[in-house]
Amino acid sequence: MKKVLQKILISLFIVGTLTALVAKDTFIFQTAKVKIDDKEGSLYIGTPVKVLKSVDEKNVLVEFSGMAFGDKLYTNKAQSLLVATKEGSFGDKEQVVKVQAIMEKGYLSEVPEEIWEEHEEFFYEMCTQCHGAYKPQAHTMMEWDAILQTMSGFAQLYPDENEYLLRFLKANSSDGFYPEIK
Amino acid sequence: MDSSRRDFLRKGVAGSAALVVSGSSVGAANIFESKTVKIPSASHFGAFYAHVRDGKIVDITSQLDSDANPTVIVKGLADRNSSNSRVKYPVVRKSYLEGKGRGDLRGKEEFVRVSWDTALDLAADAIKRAQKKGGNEALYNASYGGWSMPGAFKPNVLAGRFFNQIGGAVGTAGEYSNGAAGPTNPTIVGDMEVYSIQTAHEQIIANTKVLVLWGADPYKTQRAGYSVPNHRCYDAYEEYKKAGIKVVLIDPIYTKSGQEFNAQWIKIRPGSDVAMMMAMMHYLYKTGKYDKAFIEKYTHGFDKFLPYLLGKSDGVEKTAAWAEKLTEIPAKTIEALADLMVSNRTMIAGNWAMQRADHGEQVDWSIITLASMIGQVGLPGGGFGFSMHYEGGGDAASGKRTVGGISQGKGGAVTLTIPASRMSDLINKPGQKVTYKGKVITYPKVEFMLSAGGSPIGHQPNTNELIDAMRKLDTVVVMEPWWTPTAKMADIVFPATTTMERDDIASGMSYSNDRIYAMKQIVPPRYESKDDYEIFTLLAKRFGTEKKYTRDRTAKDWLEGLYSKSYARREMNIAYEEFWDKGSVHYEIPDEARKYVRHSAFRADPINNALKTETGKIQIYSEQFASYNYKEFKGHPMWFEPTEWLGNKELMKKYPLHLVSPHPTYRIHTQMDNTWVQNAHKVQGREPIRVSPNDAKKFGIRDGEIVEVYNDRGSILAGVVVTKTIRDGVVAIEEGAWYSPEDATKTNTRCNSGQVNLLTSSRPTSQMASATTANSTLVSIRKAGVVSPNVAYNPPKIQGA
Repeated sequence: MKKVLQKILISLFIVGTLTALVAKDTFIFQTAKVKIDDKEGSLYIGTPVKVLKSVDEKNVLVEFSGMAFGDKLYTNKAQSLLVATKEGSFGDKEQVVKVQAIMEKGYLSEVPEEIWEEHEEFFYEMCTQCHGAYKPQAHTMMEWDAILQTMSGFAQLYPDENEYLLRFLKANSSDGFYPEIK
Repeated sequence: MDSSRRDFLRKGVAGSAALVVSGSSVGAANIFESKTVKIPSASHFGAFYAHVRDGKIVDITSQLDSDANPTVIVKGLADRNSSNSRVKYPVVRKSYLEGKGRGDLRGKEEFVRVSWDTALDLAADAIKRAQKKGGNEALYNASYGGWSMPGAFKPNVLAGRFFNQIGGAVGTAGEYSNGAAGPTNPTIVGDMEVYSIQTAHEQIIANTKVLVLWGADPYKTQRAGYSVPNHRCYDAYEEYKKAGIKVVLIDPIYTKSGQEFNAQWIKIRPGSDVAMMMAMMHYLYKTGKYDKAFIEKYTHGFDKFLPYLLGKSDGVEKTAAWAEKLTEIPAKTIEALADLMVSNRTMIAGNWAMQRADHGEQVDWSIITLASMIGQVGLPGGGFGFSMHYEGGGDAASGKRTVGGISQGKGGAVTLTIPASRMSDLINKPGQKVTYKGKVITYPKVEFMLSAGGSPIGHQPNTNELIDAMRKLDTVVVMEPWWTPTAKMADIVFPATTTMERDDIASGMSYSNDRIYAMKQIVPPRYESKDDYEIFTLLAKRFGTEKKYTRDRTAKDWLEGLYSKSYARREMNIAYEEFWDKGSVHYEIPDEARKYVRHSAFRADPINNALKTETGKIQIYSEQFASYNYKEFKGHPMWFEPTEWLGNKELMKKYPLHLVSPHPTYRIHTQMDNTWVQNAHKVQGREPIRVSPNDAKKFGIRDGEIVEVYNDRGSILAGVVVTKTIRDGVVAIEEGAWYSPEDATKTNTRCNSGQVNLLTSSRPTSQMASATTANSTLVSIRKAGVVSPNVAYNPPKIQGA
């Protein structure tokens, strides 16, 4: 029974249900420098976090979770989306961990659409020159990885543009950060 | 020749050269009494110069520094521009204009010439009426494909942009070309593959010993491109020949490519290819000749596939003897081919036609699995390629950015898309459901349909079903330069300019990305035609979205903006004006690009270069696919018996011939059917039907005769070509002839022109992709009886013209 519960708990951490653990949906508005265990770190754009308390006028303590891969924290085993980085390890490889960080509250937003405004414009500009675009929610993260791999050649994306677009698509995919948004 | 004549010619030549250098075009200074101006432009058939004298195009020649092996099709562009089949004025169907509607009369009654304002107001009113009735889901944007021309102002994009800004419309998911493989391959191999850069020609030439053209016919399909083709691949194919590559053609037709490569011909029965692949895999497994290490290291789920292959899960062992009965290929030949492929560096060039058939999802999956057992995926000149016949597949990439196009922008609230080829179902079956990639889509009630830059009566299977569906709609609007069969079925037709009558910009090619072309206006717009951009702007004005639509930009503003992002502008510092004057920019191809081997990175390091699949490996088995619980699409590749094929004994009694409808040799789909170029192959003005000598004898038909080809769905006239290059039991009619009803007042009337989709079925591939199955069609042939002239290219009756 304990093992079953453990399994359920772990699977709950996998992205897609990750937001279910957050009391009030709050998201990283822009990739931000944060303090994790008094060390330098970064929290990546779009990631859902739970605000635990105010630290001072400017900063808050937030909590988030993910799967550890050394100094990087991802949403899942496939390392589909980067959640955070820090100096030092987040834990054992593929261990699901809860992490707390201190960050400026100005980097938080409660409206995902607002976060991705520029990405969205870029997506529709680049990807509707030949065909109608699918909504990001039309595919899973894995599918976007595969489809963009084919299509980036046609869109002639530079590597940084490809990465920029892919994060938007995966974060907003059917199993991304906001699966409840259709 | 007298001196005055010589002087005149000399002046003409000098004048022409001077004008090219200065980049002058229409309206250039009238220095000479008569002159020929050479104006650069580009098309799906190649880059060209239009030779214009006194405002008329007198010749078309190819830009030879860009087009190594020009096609004759490009010559027909002038003819098409001045064709009598042009839509000359805005027109409205008579009953529609009178407010009576009478959709049932579409395609049957005359049109009335109206003013631009009247036509635009009527179209805008119809859109608003539909929105009021059923919201934006009542609007269907049928202009889905970007194939009408290679420039930045693609009509389908302009239509999408218009609809997106007024709240959206029902659109299309996937496509006709790769409707089955496109949505399936990403889950199997982490990439669509059908539109991906291919192993470089240089690597094929240096390493490939056996090239299996599994249905691929690059010699034919490379003539036209999605972008502007350079036709350099034909030079590469000459090197393929010199390299002594053994070519095997698995195809019911001994294609142009088969002939060029002097290929061994395996005359497979259409629809049975997957059975042959299964048998080859069974043989490789049983003989232990397959690459166990590759399967272990690079694939997932072979163990789940094996019981099926060995017949343990379904009681049918997929032996060569089993496949012989299905494919009509001797078991020994199947085994010998497997031996040949596994013991030599082998590239399998798949095609797209095979997956436009019943259970088309299985084809690429089976080829990928077979290639995995051969174990050469990721090796130079080995593995599989599904785009070697497209856009110069094998051309090395410049790695430099060319130009894009105007965008559709974000959709409105309605972003519903239906699988391509479900067009008639969408209209006929409101409230009913269709499956697509594990999802369920409910058809809305569509009232309004718009088609710009394409002809659904041409690409949608089962034309009679579509015509019946279109007659149920409230309004059909078409924007076209020509009286296409779809335009003739419309209520409102807007005359659009051709690419020869406006400025645009294009790239070549999708994989090499080494050219940017100015598509210069060559002649003034004919009659009352307007640019698609202007037509949609005028329509947008009626919805208050004009500013959003244009962003206050002229066509030139858009073109300059698109060019400003190119490598030519940013890195080579070539100003727009300089590019425009020259007519093109060329990029160098780095030598490194000629070393490209598809999947080599994955082969070298499958951990760090894992495929974008469930396991990071090739999914011979996919848990995701299995979870869909579809009846005829499971977790691993399988052979399913098609509904219509030569193995269906019952249906064969009525319709004993298998009809395939390959890509046309002298067109892109319906494009160019209204030009003299068609004289190169039409038979008595009808689309040719290729028939084997034995079948010609069996049906008592002779070369050059017009016959009726028919089945339960419809009948068409076609001109007989008796040839040994097609196997017995199979006939071929290329897709794209313009539909011409023999008697438009009658339902399911015979097509006088040879539009093959009168005969094809709209039956979906399976629940997975719900894609087209046009190549799973049975027909019969009979005497044509009395025939009347083919008037496919004539305009309809118009009042006030």
